[in-house]
Amino acid sequence: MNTKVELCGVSLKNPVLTASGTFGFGREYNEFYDVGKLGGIVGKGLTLEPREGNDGVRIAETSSGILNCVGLQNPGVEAFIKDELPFMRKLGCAVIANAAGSVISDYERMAERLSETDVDMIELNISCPNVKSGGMAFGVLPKSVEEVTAAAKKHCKKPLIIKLSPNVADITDNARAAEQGGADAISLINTITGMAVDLYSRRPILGNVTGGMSGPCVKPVALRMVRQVCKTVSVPVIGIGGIMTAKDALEFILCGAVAVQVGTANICDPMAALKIVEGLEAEMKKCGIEDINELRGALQD
Amino acid sequence: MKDIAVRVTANEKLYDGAYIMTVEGDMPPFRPGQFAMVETPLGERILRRPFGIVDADDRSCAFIYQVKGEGTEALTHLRYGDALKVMMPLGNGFPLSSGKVAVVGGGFGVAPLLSVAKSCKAAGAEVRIYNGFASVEREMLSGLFAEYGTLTVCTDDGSAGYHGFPFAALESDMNDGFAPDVIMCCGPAPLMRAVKKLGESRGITTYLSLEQRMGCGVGACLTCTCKVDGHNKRVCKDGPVFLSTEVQP
Repeated sequence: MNTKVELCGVSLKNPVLTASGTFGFGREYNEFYDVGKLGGIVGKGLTLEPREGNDGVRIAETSSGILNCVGLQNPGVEAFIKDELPFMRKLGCAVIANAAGSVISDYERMAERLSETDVDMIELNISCPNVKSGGMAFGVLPKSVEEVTAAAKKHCKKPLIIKLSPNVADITDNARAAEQGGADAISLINTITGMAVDLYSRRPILGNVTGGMSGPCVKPVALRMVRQVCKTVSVPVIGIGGIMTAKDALEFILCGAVAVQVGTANICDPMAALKIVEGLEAEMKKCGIEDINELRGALQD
Repeated sequence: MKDIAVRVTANEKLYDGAYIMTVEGDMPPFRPGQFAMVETPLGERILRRPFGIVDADDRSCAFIYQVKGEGTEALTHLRYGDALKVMMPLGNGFPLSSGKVAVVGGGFGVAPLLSVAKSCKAAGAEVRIYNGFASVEREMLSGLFAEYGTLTVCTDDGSAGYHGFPFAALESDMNDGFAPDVIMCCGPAPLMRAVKKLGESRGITTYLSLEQRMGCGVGACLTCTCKVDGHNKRVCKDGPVFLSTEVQP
């Protein structure tokens, strides 16, 4: 059976990537299993300078999901290149750097700097809901999505993935804007903005009051948006949102995604991403396919 | 650290809202003060719960847990033979000491300290334990603690033992000449703040085991951070045990 897919000229041994912010740079999970068996890793979101992230409680739970407000804590792009990338490169899977910024020139400089390294692709986070002007500002209006994409693309020598926010009026407008700006691929969805409160203390649970919701509870929203975007743009789409099993992963591929990212599942089960990879062939058999590429976009809607 | 398939061997109520659970499986060695991430049987509560390891050997492990919400409530219904996933051992744990050791616990915070007292005693330490509870009904593990050192049980309401907080009992012993080389503490934040102040004012190396809402438990998701020397560190991976001088509990 073939699980190999091609994403922007990069060959992935399977379509299972890890979602940014849920997998560090792969070190922690490589103690549980050979992370090189995954299709690839999308690293923790990077900024030009190191960031401490938000104070206070950063995680809450809801039915079939979680909310987080980490706030882009990261060691900065230079520390990533020096301390993390050499390790990631040795794992034997694709390495995708995730970059965020507060102003357009941040994205330009991040794209330029990361293009000088041996990452396979660059994913632009224009949709972090937990930082003031932490990218979300660029992710909301189609015009600014196009602007930031075009600006980063000019400085980018690697395939450029634009990660879209679901907290928008019409996801297809934003996807089209990213494509027009020169995106080589689109990934979605980032987290859905939400909140959790403590009835008895009458306080919000999260230090940042609001946070990004993820996990199985967002999967129907993600599937709907991935399907809409796949019908709108011609660049490859990476599906993200509540993928816990191989079956979930294939559902996104059925809706048109070339690859998927597994996020919250890693936090719940350290073996989750590997189990999804290992479960692909059994599910493909149930679907009656030999090649995973046969399933892509085959939804009869 | 490993993700281990275990079977529940016991799950008993200590008092309303407090349970002790033992599980059986292929348990890896652990250091005192390390913790486990325990799956709940309620599918919609997808995060694991961080529990201090009370004691463990290569076949079994014991946890004490507090019922806080739906996930831990669902755990109370597990019975002998039920299957569960447990990821452990996690975090750094307490250092081993063979000198004079003061162990200070409050409420559920006493759970990870039993193995601390046990291992220090085995290393030849003089161990004095100060465990505080709201009342005698909430006292736990005293029989076991007493085997590993001189135990002073403290209650907030005076219903058993020393009437007052455990740091005050320790301070009183120190005023009477007890000079610990190290203090190891786990408990509610106000207790840890008092122990930090006491230890630092007397120049005694003091370790605190912190608690925070946790995600992955292995250091990847960066949700359980605390300030260490002004920077955000991971309670699950860089801790949960920190030098008192590094943190503000």
